[in-house]
Amino acid sequence: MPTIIRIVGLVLKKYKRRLTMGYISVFGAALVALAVPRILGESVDSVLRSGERNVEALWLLALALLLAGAARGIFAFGQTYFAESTSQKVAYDIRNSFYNKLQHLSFAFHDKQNTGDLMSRATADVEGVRMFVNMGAVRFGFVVAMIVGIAVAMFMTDVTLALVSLAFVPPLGWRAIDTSRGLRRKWMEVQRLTGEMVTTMQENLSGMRVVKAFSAEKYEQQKFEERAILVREATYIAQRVWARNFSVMNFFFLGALAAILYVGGNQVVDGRVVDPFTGEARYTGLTPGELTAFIFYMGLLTMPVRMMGWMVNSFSRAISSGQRLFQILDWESPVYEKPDAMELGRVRGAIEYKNVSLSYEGDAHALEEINVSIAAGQIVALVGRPGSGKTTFAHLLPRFYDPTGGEITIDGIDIREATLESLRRNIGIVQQDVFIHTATIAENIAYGRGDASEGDIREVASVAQLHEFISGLPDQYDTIVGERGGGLSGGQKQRLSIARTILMNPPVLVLDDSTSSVDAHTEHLVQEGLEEIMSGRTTIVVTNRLSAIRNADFILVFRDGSIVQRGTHEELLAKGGEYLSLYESQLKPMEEAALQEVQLAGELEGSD
Amino acid sequence: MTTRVSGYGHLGRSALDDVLMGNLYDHGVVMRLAKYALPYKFWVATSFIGMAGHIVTMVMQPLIIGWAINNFVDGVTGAEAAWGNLEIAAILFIINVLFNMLFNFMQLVSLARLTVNVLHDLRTSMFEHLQNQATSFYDRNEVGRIMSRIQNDVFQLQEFMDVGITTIGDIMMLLFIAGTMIYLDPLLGIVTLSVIPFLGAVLIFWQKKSRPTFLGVRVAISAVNGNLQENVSGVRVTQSTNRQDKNLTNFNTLNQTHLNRTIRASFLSASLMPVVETLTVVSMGLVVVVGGVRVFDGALEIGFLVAFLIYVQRFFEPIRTLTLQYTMFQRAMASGARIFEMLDISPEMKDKPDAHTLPPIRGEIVFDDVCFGYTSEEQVLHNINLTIQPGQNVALVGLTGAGKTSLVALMHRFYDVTGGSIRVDGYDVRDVTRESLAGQMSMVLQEPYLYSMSIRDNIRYAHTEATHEQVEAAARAVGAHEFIMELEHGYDSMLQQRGNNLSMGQRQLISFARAVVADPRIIVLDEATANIDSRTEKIIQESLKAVLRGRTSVVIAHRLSTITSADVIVVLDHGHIIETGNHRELLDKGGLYAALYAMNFGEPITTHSNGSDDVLSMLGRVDI
Repeated sequence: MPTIIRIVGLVLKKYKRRLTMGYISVFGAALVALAVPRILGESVDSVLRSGERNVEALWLLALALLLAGAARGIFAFGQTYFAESTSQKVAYDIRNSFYNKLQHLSFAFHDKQNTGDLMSRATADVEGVRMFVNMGAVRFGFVVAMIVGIAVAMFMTDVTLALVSLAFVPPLGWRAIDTSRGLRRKWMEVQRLTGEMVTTMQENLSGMRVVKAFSAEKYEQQKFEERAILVREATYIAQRVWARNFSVMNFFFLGALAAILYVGGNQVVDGRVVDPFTGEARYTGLTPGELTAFIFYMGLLTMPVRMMGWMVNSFSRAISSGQRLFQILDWESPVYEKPDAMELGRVRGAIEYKNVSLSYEGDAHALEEINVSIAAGQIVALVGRPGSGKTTFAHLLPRFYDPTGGEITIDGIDIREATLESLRRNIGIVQQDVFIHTATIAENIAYGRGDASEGDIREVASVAQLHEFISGLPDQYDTIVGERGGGLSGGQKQRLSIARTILMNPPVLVLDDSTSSVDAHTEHLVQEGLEEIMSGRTTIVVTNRLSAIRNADFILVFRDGSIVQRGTHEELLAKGGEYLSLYESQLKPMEEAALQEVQLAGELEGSD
Repeated sequence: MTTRVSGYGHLGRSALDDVLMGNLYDHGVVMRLAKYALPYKFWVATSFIGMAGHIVTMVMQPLIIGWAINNFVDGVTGAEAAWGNLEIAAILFIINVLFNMLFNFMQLVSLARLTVNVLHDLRTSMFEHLQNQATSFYDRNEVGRIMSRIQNDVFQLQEFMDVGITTIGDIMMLLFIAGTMIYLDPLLGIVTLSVIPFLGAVLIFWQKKSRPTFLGVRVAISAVNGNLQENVSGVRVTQSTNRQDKNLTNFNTLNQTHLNRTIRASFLSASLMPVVETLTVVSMGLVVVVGGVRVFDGALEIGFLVAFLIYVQRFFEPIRTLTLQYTMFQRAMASGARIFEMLDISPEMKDKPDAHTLPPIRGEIVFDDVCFGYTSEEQVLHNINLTIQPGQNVALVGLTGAGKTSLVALMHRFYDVTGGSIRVDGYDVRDVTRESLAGQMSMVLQEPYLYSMSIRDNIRYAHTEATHEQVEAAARAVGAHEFIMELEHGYDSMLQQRGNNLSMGQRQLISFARAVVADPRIIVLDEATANIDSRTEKIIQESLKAVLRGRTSVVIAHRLSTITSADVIVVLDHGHIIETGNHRELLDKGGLYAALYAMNFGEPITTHSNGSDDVLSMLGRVDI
């Protein structure tokens, strides 16, 4: 219920007028809709009345029909338009705030969320709330107005017949609601099973080499078929429940017509007085016209009673969808800016970690009592096994996470005192797995600096050894890349990220180079690009590469969230311990691959 | 002007991809879809019987009401007679309604059965079709794209079948009602229906006018969601480059465009209502005036006037929904075309019609003058001649791109040779069925691929007949049993997608166990270089011995330290075999292998960045 109140609050806050217009249309539509059966009834009586040919009366009635119908059309327009547009505006607002919230939540949040789930909130759940605004908030008024209005009109005409007709409404309404609920559960089951079927297919396609390697096509087919059959049967069952409910509801509505015809017909016949002289009939009780009106009232009643089920559904869907949306919108990011945060100018780049620790429920990122001091312009290499904390260490500097203890300073200033924007402007990050946006190459390079000129972009692309490749493309810098554009290789992405960082010209650099997945030739080029940008900046490099390690002023060796050794390559090799074992098991094998790469790169260059 | 980098073949970048809506009716698509309904003739028949019965009973109802009203209004013989007739009418009506319900239920249930069956068959035939595609198909087509075809396009067809068939019913109902009205009173019938041409004209005009808008809404929402998805995936870049404000502005632009279009679309849908409402009452007004005069003239009975009014009401109801189904039809045709396009891609690699089953083999492999290239321009393997004895352990060594992976892919017939032949125990691999070949050959991939099933099912994989004892024996052989038993549910522990709840090393062990259960004569191993801690690495080295024991094995070596004991080491370079022999022989020979080995285990390496010249000179001019 608080969720519903909050959604209604969202509507009322900005769209009171639209909502009011919607309600005026709803009540107007209900009112004129009630007039039509009356006019039709009057027409029947008018035709029957006393043998005289009163064609003018018929014309008048036809005109009344036209007016009522046209008015109803206009109100129906208003009802649809205002309900729909209000709901779309609310959806628009929610989408914008959802989007903005996501891009401000810290890495700690995004580490735990998967894209699919967030996307389903942004699409299915936004739609759930939108449907509620449309159905629940506006059309609910229509359902109530119609049912009440029809009841009043019926009772005013004939109490007995009204009781007979309306006796069907409560059980049918209840049935509509009950079945809708059951159906919703059934459809959710179908969705769940469909999700499983899709996962099976996804795994099958992604792992096609395994399938081929084991010649497991038949087995996979059978596995998929089993899932698909579950989906098929669940869908069928849901549809059968719906079909049964639909036809039974129809039966009772039409059955009500039979009752009206019988009971009402009796009343007409009982009240029928035939003038013994003229042979003309008069109706002292119910008139045939009034009976006709009742038949049409029943027709009008069908829609609102059916809608009761949808209403209740939209209500319960809005509660679950709303909760899922508000959960994200209310998420408190552990990384936030102080109200009086200061603007950080261009720093020199002296960095200090004092007693920094970080603990998480997940434990994977934990750091313990880290003390490091890096002078401006120094290069520091971080090494360690996967999960030892070296990447987390680097990510604390731009405040992608905040430490749970201790402090980090740049040029002596606690980074939590600075605005996030000015802090991050000072730190350039080259990530291993670079995300490329669907945009032109130029836009991707200028991602962090919209004001960069074409010349600047070309220049940094050259430094990052990317210009040659771009020049070979049909549209050069205007070529669209990214998920929905063309593919770039791992090495090209990484160089693009380097170019992007050079363009931002930050005094501090963080390079994440911990796992290598690029091919040999480009790795060599990337290496040159990296060395180019490290000079003159404070650099923290997470790496497995001996060359990068040798360039470093000192090396920090991480194990289980602590720094266990520090010093230069030679010093550490002499000391033995963790570094030596790392060297044997990881650094040296990497070097083996690097050797092959150098040889290949040499040959490629030679053959050009 | 902007274009996309590199086009793909096949469905990668089909022109059909950008078609959101096709024609209203595509004969080819509908006919092929109809073929899928052929096995379910019974359900087709029952749905049509149900539909027809439903329509007939619906159309009869106003007639019964009219007849009843005629009787008690004009019943000349007085009250008693009218009484009797009223009872008959009520009973008739109840019977009608009962049949109406049964027919309706029959129609809906048969249709449900029919559509779920057809969609199921469509899905499984797409899946089967995909299984039979060669590996090269998956090199070219992204999984995401294939998935979206299967999910979205099949969904569109589902919607089409659910709603489309009801539409057929609606249209039949319209025709039947029109016929009944004309039968009852031709003059009044024609007058009442005279509004239809106006309605038709309005609908056609509206359709033309609103189509771009509805299309625009779909384009806009996919842009909104696409942008959102990118933002979520790229949030780390956004935060490190301070792009939040700019991004929000971009997103807001897309979101606003979508909002404007939906509001315009809702205006258009709503604007149809006054038209339909007005035409409905015009039609009713005509019944009142013209029908009234006909009653005065004695040409029509009053009860049928009421029946006419009810017909008009029922006539206009389905017309409102018909307009909304228009765009859905177009979308479904486009989706159908895409689905059948995919089903029409014939697998590049089929078994020969006369392919025979490979009998149990000893495990001899002969490469006879094998040439191969992924494209016709570029050859990656040149005249490879190599004989591997049963039970031999062969290591392939070479630089990246030397052709090691291609060589084993050919052996497994992921691709076909472009020249020469590969024979297993004397059988050309192209002459035997793929299934019988792969059944005796296993491949352990560098990156272990696990499924979200239990550990047991992952180890068993395609060999579902394997008993628990066999599974456990395999796990013990590779040293995986201990960690499996430490898990909460042991062998029944469910893995997350791709086995994310296991460490890399553990995943590797499971995939070894899988190969052991398959019990192949020949095993191909793409040696892993992934980040594995040294303890696990020792276990893996040990377990590998267990996997390879007693089989012919071909190992793609990334680290020389692991292959010194191989029976034969084959050194590849640029698609040629340049050296073969065992470790000792190759060292004595002093070629590429010796040079590589010396760098690994000999003197420390000079710094990489300025040492490249030294390394190159050390490697010398390796003669090819």
